[in-house]
Amino acid sequence: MRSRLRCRTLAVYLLAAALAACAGLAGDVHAHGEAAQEAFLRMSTIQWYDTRWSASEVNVNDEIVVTGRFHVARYWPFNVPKPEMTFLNVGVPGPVFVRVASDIGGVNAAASMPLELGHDYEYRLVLRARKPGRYHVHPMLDIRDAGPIVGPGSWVTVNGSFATFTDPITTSGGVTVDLERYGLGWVVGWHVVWLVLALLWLVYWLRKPLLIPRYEAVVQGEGEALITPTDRVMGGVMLAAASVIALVATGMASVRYPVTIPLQSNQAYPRSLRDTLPTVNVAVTRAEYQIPGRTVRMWLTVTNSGAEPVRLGEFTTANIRFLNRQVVQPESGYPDDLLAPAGLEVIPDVAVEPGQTRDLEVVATSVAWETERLALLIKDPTSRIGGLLMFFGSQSNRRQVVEVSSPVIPTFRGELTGVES
Amino acid sequence: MAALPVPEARPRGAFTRPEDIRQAYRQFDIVIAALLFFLFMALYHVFWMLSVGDWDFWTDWKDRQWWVFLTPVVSIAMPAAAQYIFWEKFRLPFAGTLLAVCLVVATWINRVMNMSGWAYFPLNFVWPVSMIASGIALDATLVLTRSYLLMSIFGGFFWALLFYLANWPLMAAFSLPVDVNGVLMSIADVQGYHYIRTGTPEYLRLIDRGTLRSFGQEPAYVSVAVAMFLSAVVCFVFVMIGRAFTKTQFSWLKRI
Repeated sequence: MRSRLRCRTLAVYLLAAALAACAGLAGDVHAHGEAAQEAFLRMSTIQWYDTRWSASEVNVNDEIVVTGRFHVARYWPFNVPKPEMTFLNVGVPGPVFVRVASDIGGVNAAASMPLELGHDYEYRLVLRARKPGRYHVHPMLDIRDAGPIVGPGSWVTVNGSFATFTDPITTSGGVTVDLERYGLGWVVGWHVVWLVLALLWLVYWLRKPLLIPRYEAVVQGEGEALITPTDRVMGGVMLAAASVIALVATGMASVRYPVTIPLQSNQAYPRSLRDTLPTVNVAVTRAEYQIPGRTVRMWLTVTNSGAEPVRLGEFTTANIRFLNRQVVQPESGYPDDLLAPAGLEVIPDVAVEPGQTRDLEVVATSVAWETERLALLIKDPTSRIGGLLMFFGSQSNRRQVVEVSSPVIPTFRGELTGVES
Repeated sequence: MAALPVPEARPRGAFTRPEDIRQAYRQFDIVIAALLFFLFMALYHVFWMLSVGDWDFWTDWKDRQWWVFLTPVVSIAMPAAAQYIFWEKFRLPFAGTLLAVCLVVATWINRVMNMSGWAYFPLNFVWPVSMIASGIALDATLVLTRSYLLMSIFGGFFWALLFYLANWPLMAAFSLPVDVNGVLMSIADVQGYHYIRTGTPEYLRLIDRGTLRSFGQEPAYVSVAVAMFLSAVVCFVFVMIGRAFTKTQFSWLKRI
């Protein structure tokens, strides 16, 4: 018996030690689940591009600005609610920044907004650093009934002291207050008043014998005697006191805050980008995902109805960018983990002349298909791949953004069988 | 309490002297009261989070319709049931206040430790309401009327009315208008906008939606009136649930 007890004690100690070791071995959290969303959701709804972060290191109270564009898929999945109500949000671990301004297409994005399918929007987020730390900062679009679609993220380090953070705002009455601390004394003060009143009432009863004596009296039919006239007077006094204090509080609030407004629940209507329509038309003949090689291969038919030759420079999907380095280079400071090292292979890598229709094969190879969990497309209810193709004019370098969407076939062998270009 | 038959009642067990019995009863009271305090804190707080939830978590959810209406109507359920048990078995009319105190302590612990300490939200954005005025009114109407029906009617009315009168002053401070980049917002709205909540987009707020409107441009009065009526109904229903609860409980107390 004693040995069994010792064994159990030892097992408990070992378990505790193992748990402690696990806690010690745990590393930093490097993201917050942006790759956890279903692949088709990230590849077929909102496509983020041109994302810029104004700084990668700031002090508490300093601002960073996140800007960029997003494309709302024209071929929106039918099993995902359409973006009839959205809110421009920020993917950060809580209020480590405060959002001091945001807009979509120049329209204040403090309100929720409907978006139109197939349109592109320009957005801006102004964040002020609040809590020191190192954070992955993403733009994010919340879509009612569909959930958040997280944009690309970049690490931002915040230095300084949390205690020095202030958030001044000026009311319409011209009074400037620190939002971080405003009104707390007023709230706590009234809570204390009510707590004191409650304790008076509770202590009045708690000082008397409580449970067993009173229970016995009730059982013996002497319950009525337990409530004395003094108790009833006390009840009346407490009711009157609570009512009077509540009325006084309301009166004081009316004097102190004479002009108040209800909570605002506005809806705004953003302006989409009014670029001229693309002169490049793309039809996807077939798309395959080669699982062993972590490669997506698409066969395209590209028609150029513009006035200058165009070349395919970029394919971007679910925040991963595949660049054809012969045509376009990444911006300095752009997060490396969002750029596929192997880039984009275009076969043949030639310009599509004005008026010409040409078949192209594009090869996008990257471990990101695995690490970003996009390969899990085969487990999604909608096996479609989507993204943006970016063509660049050979002379003007004008960029044209073209959305593509296609069923995708997974292949499990090394050699692909597709339509040859 | 001179009418109590306790000390001179049947001495039993290990205690023979009345003062020993009195002391044992008192110690029992203290232990049970402490346990009940934590039990009610946990139960009422969980119930509160599941029912009132966001309307109490954030200032930018404390609107003139749903906050004013929903909070008192759902929160009277547990105090009403507890009121029956405490009154019926012990003639103690303090369940309303007791649960309100348990709730306010639990919610402040939650806001300070969790929402401010772990999630970094400032306390002036996540302060809880106080149901103490409502609880006192519920207790007082019971001790004055000594009737469950009258307590439900008048106590329910006071419960909702005093909730609004006691908590609107707190919210008034956060209802001042602010011009935010050309859009009119209250300070509470600005808090909701500034302090980023990745799981609570603006459109999720259920505020000022519905038909409780059109009374001198002050929907809060309509909401309070409807809440008063429904609080009375809910109170009586849960008094009856408390009654059903006592039918199967307390056999252990008899044995003691």
